[in-house]
Amino acid sequence: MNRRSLLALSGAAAVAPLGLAGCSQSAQDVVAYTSVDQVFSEPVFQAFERQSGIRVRAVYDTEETKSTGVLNRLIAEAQNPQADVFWSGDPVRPFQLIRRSLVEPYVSPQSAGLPDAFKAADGAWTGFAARARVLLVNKERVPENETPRGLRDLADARWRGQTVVANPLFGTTTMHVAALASAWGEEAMRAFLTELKSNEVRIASSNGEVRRLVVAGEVAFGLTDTDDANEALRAGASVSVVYPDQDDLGVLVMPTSVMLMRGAPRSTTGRALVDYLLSAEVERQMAESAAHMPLRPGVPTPSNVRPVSDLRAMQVDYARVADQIEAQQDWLRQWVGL
Amino acid sequence: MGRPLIAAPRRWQAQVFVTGAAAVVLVAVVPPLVATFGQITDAKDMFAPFATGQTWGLLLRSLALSGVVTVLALGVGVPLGILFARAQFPFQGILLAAHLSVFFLSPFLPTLGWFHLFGREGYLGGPASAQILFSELGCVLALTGCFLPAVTALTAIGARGVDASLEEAARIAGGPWRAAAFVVAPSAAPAIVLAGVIVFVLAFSELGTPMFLRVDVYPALVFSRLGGMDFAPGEAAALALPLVALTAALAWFEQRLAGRRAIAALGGGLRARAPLFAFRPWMLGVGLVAAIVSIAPIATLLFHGALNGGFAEAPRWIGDAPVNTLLASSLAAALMTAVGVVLGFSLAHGHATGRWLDPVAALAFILPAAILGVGIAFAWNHAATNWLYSSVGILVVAYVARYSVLATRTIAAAMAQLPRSLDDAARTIGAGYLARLWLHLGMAPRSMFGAFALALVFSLRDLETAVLLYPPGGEPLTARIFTLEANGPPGVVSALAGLHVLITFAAASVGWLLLRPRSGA
Amino acid sequence: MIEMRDVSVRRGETAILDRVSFSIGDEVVALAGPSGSGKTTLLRALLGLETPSEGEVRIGGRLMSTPGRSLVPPEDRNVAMVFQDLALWPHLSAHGNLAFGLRARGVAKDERERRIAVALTSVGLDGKGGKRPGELSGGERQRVAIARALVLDPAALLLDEPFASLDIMLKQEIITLLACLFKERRVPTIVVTHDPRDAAVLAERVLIIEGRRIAQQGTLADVARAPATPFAEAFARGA
Repeated sequence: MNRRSLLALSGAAAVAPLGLAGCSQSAQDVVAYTSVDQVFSEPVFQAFERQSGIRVRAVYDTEETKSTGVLNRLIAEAQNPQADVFWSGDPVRPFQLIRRSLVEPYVSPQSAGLPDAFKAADGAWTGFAARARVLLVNKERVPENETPRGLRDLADARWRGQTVVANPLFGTTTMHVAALASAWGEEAMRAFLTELKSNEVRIASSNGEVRRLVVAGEVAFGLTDTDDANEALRAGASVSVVYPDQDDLGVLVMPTSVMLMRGAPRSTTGRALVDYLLSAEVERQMAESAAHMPLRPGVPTPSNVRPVSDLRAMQVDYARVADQIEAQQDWLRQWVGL
Repeated sequence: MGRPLIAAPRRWQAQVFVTGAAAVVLVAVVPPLVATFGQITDAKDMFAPFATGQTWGLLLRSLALSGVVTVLALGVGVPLGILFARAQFPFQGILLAAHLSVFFLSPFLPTLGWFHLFGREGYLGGPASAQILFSELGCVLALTGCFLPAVTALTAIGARGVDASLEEAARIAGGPWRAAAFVVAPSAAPAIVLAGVIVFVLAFSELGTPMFLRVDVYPALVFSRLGGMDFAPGEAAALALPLVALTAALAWFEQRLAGRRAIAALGGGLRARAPLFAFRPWMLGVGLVAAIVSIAPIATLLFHGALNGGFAEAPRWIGDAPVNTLLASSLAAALMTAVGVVLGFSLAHGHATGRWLDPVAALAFILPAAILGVGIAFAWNHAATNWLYSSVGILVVAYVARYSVLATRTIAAAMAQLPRSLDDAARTIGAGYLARLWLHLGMAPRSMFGAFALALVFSLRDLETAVLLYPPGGEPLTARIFTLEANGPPGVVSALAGLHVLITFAAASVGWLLLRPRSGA
Repeated sequence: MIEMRDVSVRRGETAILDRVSFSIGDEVVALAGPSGSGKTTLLRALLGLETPSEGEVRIGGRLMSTPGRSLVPPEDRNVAMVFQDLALWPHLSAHGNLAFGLRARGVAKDERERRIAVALTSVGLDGKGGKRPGELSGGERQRVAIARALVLDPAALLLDEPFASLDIMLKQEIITLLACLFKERRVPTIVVTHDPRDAAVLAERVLIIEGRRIAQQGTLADVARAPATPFAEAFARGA
């Protein structure tokens, strides 16, 4: 240790604030928070940057539940909003923000082509590029004639201890459970989850983990999202994808949704990004890269993605589902064991 | 004995430096703690969770889990540390570096590596190995593997610093094994106890690995109040209250076992001596096993990545993450070292400022990172402090808040080891505060690097705190690894994990070049 | 009998002990020399803590090391040492410090206790076995260090400047104690000292080491009569 060491150290400590201040802002930029997987959302932002010259500074979500999630970060930052735009991986979480008056309604000119069922009339949120909740089946472990057809198969004693769902306190599973409560009624949903538990269903920390467990053959099949299922197919895993309950309830369709944040520090560039995200170009890009189903008519659907029109979809009032989510939290926590 | 006087004309030095360093720690640590625990009063029915046996059961389960991990890590790491420090065998340095590398990663990544190896369809796996992996035993083993190197490293540092005469006297009288067991290990106790506390805290607050291996732990309970649909930081803070008691218990335990004695090795003036154990082939075997156990999950991850052809894509996905990581971590580590020098000196001499700050900073280290992170967001996200909150600076604040106690303790430990008379001698000849500080640094030349390396490694591997508040577009590498982990190309995640290990080694080496003790200095 | 024949110890290119030869029977020999002359290295080579690059070391007639190779590890040489800084293990009591080596040699508990009691009595520390080094006075610590060496019944005894940090009263006390102990136990003993008066009281012969080589050996009177070097002359005159 010598004087030089100490000088270097104090020098580094002293210049810290200068170096850091330079990192914070740039002239034309926009801050976007997204719970859409980074692997899919980042290329979209990059395309926007190329087209508009506006730099996107993004905050992404980790799918594993090691973060509190960008939604809660948005709530925690409500007193001094940092984000201009929130691009949510589902259409329900936005209601957490809408209820807290954190959203600035904005009817984008681009939203005109999107179905009314997938957007708020006042522009609080607009849905596009959707996913569905599917059963991912390991073909090595499940003979073809025993392939599950619906959610209830998760509770079938035939598959005791061999199925998996993601933790319903986090991610899209939260929405799925709430949608079931909304469709079946609270009692039936709870009875179903209790059956799952007695059938020793595994609880994974995320849908990605469901995929990993199914692909690895740890379980026979599991409930996950189409994008996760598509990753498994793309990696060449020996799996099949089942769109559940096509004879009765229908499959849960979840559009991603975008909204402008109230008090957005850069609302002009924020609007530009919202407009871009709602364009047909982004739906096409999301269909190709992430197997998201386009909602806008006329956007071509790749072979691995079933068009929404082909599916029997659950009839869902997203606002009611959002209510159900809050109502079921305590019970779900008990169910999970937390 | 009267209290020696600080030379009056230079008393300002002590005041300025101690106040300045204390202010840095207080500004980083106190606002988030106040913000966090301030939320408790807003929480509805905040103590309701404590009325259920489930909460307490989970707490006990977590304590037991981390207790077992700590005991295992100490049981293996202490002999291993002594072996690496006091034996001589070929490739010792390389094997030690390989053994340490797993500690540089957030435990979830090595766990993922074990999964690819021992999962049902893993390279070496089957139903039986998968059953073990996805169990409490698997969780304990995975976490022990991740944290073991911390014990090895700190024990090795402690063992190398044991007074040469003490070791030689023991060796002459009782041979190398007895000398190691009854003199070297007890003399390195402060380092070993510190390692035990660090492992316990890390194991207790770990969330990713237990959740992946489906083992319920208490931090998941805390986290469910923050990461679920009901954002209830007050309830989360209330649930963190038992951890305040845990902090106090650990502080008491550490004080009781280690007292103010020090990590001697971080001190200076060590006489060169022959290795305690002469080379035997089994030593190479043990070293190899230690290295392989650490490298295996990382190598599997890399192999799995390469097999999936994702490496070529890594450059496309890496973005500015390495720069962000290095900038924030090295600045934070430099700041923590600078502050640690002043506060460590104060703590080593039992001054009030050092003594009061220590438990506050320790609490910030022990609290679940999610709580501290939300507290930092509450504390710093205001219009007036937006310049900081929206910059990489907030990561520096977060790292300093969470890890400054480690740097300060490292330096305090080394300085406390020095005979008090050396300081008294300096004071009686009228040395001012800075001169004394300088003198102590000269006598404990490795402590600065030790503190810097520790602060740097912890900042670089941090995920849980950073992921909550990294500035938009300025994510550190750990955050990027985990945001890409969701559906990202597996090769990319693996490549970034490998890169992360390399960056940590590189940054620590640069630190060593700058801060290493120089001959004649 | 301890014996060194043409022993050299090297650190890189530099010899820190250069072709040293001597032999000591059941007698006390004072080892003197200027600072840095190689006194401590010589002791460490006898103990097996340094491996000579040349020459042979024998203890009790047994070959301990050949060039570049230590044949008998330190713990098996049965050589005891009182370190300059005492090297008392701070976490063990006086009793624990004494028991350590006996346990290692597998001495049964009763015999161990007996020998510890005798050793503590012989250095005047009756009833203080339970105290840790930090709770003992400077003189008492010195006595523990001596007792720890003697309790093992060593084949040879080495004392590295045992009086360096003692006041004159304490030093007298310890010298008297050592003189008695040396009379009782006749084993090859080397006492490193800077003070010719200590050598005169305790030792039968002196070994003068200078420039890392043995400059002269013989009785103090021999050295005084025909000093080989200015240091030897000054040392002998000081007696």
